[in-house]
Amino acid sequence: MRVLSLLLSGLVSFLASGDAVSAAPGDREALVAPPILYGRPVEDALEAPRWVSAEAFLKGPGEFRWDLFAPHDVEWLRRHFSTVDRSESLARGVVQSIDPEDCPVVTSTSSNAGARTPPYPGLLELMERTEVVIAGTIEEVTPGFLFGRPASLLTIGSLEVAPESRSSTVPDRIYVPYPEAHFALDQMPFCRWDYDDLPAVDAGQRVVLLPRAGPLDVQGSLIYATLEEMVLEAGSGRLELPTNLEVDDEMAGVMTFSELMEKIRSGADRIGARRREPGP
Amino acid sequence: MRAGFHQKVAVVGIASTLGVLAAGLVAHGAQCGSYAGFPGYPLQNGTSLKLVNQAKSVFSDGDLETGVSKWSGCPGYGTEFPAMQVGGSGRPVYVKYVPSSNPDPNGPCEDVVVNTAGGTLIDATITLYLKQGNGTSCAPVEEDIGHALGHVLGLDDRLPQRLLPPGAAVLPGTTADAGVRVLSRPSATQRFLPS
Repeated sequence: MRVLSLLLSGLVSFLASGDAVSAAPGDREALVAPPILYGRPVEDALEAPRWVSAEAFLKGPGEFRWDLFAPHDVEWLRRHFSTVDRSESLARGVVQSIDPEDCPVVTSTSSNAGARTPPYPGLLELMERTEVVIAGTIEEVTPGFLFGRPASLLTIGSLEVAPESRSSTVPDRIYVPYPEAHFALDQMPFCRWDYDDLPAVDAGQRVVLLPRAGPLDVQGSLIYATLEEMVLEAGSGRLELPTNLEVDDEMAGVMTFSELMEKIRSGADRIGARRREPGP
Repeated sequence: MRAGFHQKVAVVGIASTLGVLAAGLVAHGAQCGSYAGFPGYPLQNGTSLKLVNQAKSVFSDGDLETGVSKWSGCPGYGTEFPAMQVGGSGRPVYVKYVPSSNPDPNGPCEDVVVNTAGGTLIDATITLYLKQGNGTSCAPVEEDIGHALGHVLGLDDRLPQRLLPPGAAVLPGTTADAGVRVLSRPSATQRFLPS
């Protein structure tokens, strides 16, 4: 209980420090997200990388690193190559972004619904079940494959972590998969979105993550947050809320990033107070 | 105005289907509601799905047929949403098995990947795992297949109440609860272990 109180007080300190996140994308250094991220070794887990960038998969015109994928994912990829027409107007041997309107085939998955838990976790529930709240700024969006499926990898920097006691466990930059992508790899289009109105992501956007699961990779930098555990700030300054937070009474009136941070701050106070109450 | 993420399947033709759904809810045990005005991926009339068993050493065609039977008794089967059979003709649904945990730590017993073109399903792949990403054992294979077929059809585990009324389009393997869909607890039975 004391540990929880300390964690929450740390969260409050973090949030009360003001300027919890800083958006300074203008003078970013040239970033390159890791081409391959391997998973933590688990007894019966697959040994294939969790994340493979499109650049890493492509060796050259007509040549691919099939060895980077698990056998069942190779089968899916090969079928994609055999059933989807190449875009002859694109260059060979390179990775290119394509317009979603030009996607001949769209892949969607059931895996990112975030629906495997009790219904509609609100903000307070998300806060109670996460070990660490991470706020930061998207620095780069990289196309590639997560678990063998097309996806994007968000490089997130300018991190603030709460509680501060967890800071040493979070690297300077983290990488967060996002279930939306549209790119061509050696003329082969890959398009993925699981939701029709999934918010666009771009460098400079601020984001708050409340991930339940720990890092996926050995380095602790690949953070998997489901859509219901992620709040994005759109370019207009408004929030892109997942449905579970959109219908959360706690979020009524929360329209901006600063209002969200204030809400998290007050939520942490309430959770802490509730936990300090003596039991029956 | 704030934006929310709306599951893809829910927004396909939802404006035209809400009224029909609200008017036609018929409980079918605890399994399926009315599928009139089915909100999933649209298919051309007469299009069916063929299941391709790619794990015959692990489960039988009969297991797949049992999974199909979770849907074949539902209103709208073959009319509002496509009929399904093992083998034969139709849009392919590949069924595979991976004898390990779902690599996604939040991942369930099944991973469903659907390819669509112009909003119409062209093929799908169901991957069944030995365990969920959190290590929980999975339900009997026919239950998981029945559930996964719902995803192939374009349904999510749950949808906001404002998109679907309570009891509508509940996936097999789920229970209706105030208009949302909640996965039923998996049994301890492990049917995926090769004999």
